[in-house]
Amino acid sequence: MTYALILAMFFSVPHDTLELKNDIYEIVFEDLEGISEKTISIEKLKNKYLEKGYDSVLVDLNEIMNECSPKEYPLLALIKARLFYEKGLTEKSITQYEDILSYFEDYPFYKINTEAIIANLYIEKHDYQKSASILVKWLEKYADKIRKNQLKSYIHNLGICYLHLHKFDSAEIYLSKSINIKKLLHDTLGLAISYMDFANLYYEQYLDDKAIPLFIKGLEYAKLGNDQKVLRNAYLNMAVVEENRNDFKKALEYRKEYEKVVKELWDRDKVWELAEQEKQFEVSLKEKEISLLEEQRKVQQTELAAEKQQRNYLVGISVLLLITAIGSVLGYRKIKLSNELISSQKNELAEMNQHKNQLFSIVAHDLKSPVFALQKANKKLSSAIEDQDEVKVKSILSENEKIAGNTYSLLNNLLQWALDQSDQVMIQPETIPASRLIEQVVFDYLGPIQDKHIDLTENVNREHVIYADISSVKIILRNVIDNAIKFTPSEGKISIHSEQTEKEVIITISDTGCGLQMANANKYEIQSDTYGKKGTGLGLTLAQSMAKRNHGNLSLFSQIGKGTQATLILPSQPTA
Amino acid sequence: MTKPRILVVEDQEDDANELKGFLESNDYEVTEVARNLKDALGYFYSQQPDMAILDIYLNGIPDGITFAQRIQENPNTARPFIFLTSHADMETFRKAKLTMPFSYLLKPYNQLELQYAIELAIEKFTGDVGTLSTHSHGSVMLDKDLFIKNGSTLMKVPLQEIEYIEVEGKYSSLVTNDSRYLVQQALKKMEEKLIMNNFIRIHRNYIINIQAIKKVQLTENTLYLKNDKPLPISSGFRDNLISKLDILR
Repeated sequence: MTYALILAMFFSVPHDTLELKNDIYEIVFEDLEGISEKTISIEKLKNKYLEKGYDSVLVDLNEIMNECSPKEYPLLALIKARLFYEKGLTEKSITQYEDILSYFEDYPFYKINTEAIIANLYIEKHDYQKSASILVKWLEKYADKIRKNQLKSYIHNLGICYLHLHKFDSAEIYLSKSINIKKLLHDTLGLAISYMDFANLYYEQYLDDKAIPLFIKGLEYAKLGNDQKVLRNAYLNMAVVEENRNDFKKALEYRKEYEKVVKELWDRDKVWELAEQEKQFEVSLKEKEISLLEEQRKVQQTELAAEKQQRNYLVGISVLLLITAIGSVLGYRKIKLSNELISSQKNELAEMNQHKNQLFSIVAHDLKSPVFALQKANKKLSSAIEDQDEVKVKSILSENEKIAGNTYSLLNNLLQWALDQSDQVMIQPETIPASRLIEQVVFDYLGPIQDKHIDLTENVNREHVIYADISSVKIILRNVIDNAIKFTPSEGKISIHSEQTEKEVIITISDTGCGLQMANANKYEIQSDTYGKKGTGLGLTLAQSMAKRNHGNLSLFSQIGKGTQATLILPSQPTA
Repeated sequence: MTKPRILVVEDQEDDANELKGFLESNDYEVTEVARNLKDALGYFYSQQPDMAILDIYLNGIPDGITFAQRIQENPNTARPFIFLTSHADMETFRKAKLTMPFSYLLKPYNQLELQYAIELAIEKFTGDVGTLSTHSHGSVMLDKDLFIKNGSTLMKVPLQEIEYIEVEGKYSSLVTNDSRYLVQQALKKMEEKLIMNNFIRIHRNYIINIQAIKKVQLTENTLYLKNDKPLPISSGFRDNLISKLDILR
């Protein structure tokens, strides 16, 4: 089926007519593309052929021929034969053409053209005998069927073959046939060639009389035609002819004409060459220009790249600078903040250091002296017991009790202060009636109050409850009441009363003591109490800290000579 | 009326004696002074005191806390307690305080502080916070006893001693065979617990102990106590009284 189809396609090639072509290969490729499925390979082959890359075409061709169909083979072989010819392998080319001929029995177009090619190739090989025999048969078969203008050169060629074979009779027949056809066709150039060939035919036979007019005719036609080479040959022929018949003057004239044509030819070639060179020069110039432009482009590109890189660098540097700037601003702020922190910490430290020094002074003085006093009192006591002085014993004992009590409360404060400083105070607020706590604290001071005949009025509403931690509120009250008693002279007055606001209870403890001197806007100076003893100020500091820890506040208001008023504010309910 | 009975757990003899002295002078009965955990638990279960005052460290071991945890395990026999502590063992105490929200006393303490701590311990235990500590005549019911505050002292009145309760506005009078105690508390809150303990309301103003009834004169709407004191029966509570009496007989 496939085979039949391919055959049908092959039969349908449009060029299967009796027509001679100067170059059949355009048609060969066209027909190949029509019947082959290897369109791409053929297309490639054709392009290479047109570009005259014959070696490459040969390689590809052999590859294609290895696996081609029977229908493709003769056409591919035709191409191969042409390639041999182009490579100068004329003999191989002829053999190839002759081999393919058998395939073309049914394809007159290829047969006629191939035979013509073979004939021409034999001429080129100077095998005139062979060429003539082919041409004779060829003309027999096709002379009537082919148009005269296609026939003329083959008839002429056959004439030339006979001329070379010195078969002058046959040569004369075919050359004159050729001239007749050319005359009919008004082919001046062809006529010029034919006449000159014809003249040579007679000249070879020393039939100068017949030959010379033909040479002249040839020259006349050559002059009419525009082929310089034919004209040159015509002049040369005439120069030789005139020289041989000793007409040197004419010979010289023809020679001059001949040289003129040669020179023209040369000039034309030269001009061509020059033009070619110029063209080449220009091309090379253009190429240089192009390469220059290419270089420029490259340079520009590198410049651009460099610029880009530079820009990137710039961007990078500016980003870096920005970061550094932000960093330094932040750093500066941080430093400033940390400086502030440091200075506040420094103040804190100074304060703590002051507390520490205070602590040392307390330990050194305030604790040492009462213990020393007790030691002394004990000696007095033992001697009083020896003397059985009961009154003295009692008075010493009561004195000792006081000293011990004071020292104990001081120690207690110290301990609380230490806990407070190390944040170990646990605040567990509860709802407590303020009066209950106040009476519990006052209870411990009933002795000193009685001793100093102090008039204590306690006016605290039983309904006023505070929401606070019992122990710490007791510390506050103990210190405030203790101070009030210490700084209030005998027969003085201390009054405690409470007030309830919406969310707070205000406990005021006022005395009619000596009052305190302001040390600065917020602090009172440490002052000697009514016994002439100077306190430490520790108790008040501790009390204020405890008030804060209970979400309250302790403030003092004092006037010299008029007494002191301590105001303790504590929440009455849990704060949100 | 009896005195509240307190078990003291304290290994230091001086401290124990001082505490005992304070308690007795303030009208409390000290059932015993225990010096170690084992004794303390033994006394607690055999004597069934109303409350305990505990030193945290007994012979250097925080057995006071262990004791408190033990007696709380059984809610039927659980009783209020107070921790006695000094600064030295404050840290241990803080941990205990977080788990047991009762009362504590910081050494040295005075009588007022002790009294306040006892009141707090009882009222916190019964869930009547503020009843005793903020009122001069508050009362709290603990098991089958009423703890009544009379001024600065705390009295214990067993429910069975109470013949009837007379409501007088904001105050109530608890009447026993020989005394009459004024209580600064509306009895509404206490009524429920009283009714579970053989008390019944017979009038808007009277709740009586059924055991104290001698006879009932329904025709006169009057009830006579064992000491022949007549009390009025209001019609609204009459049927309730009859049904209660029927059940009893």
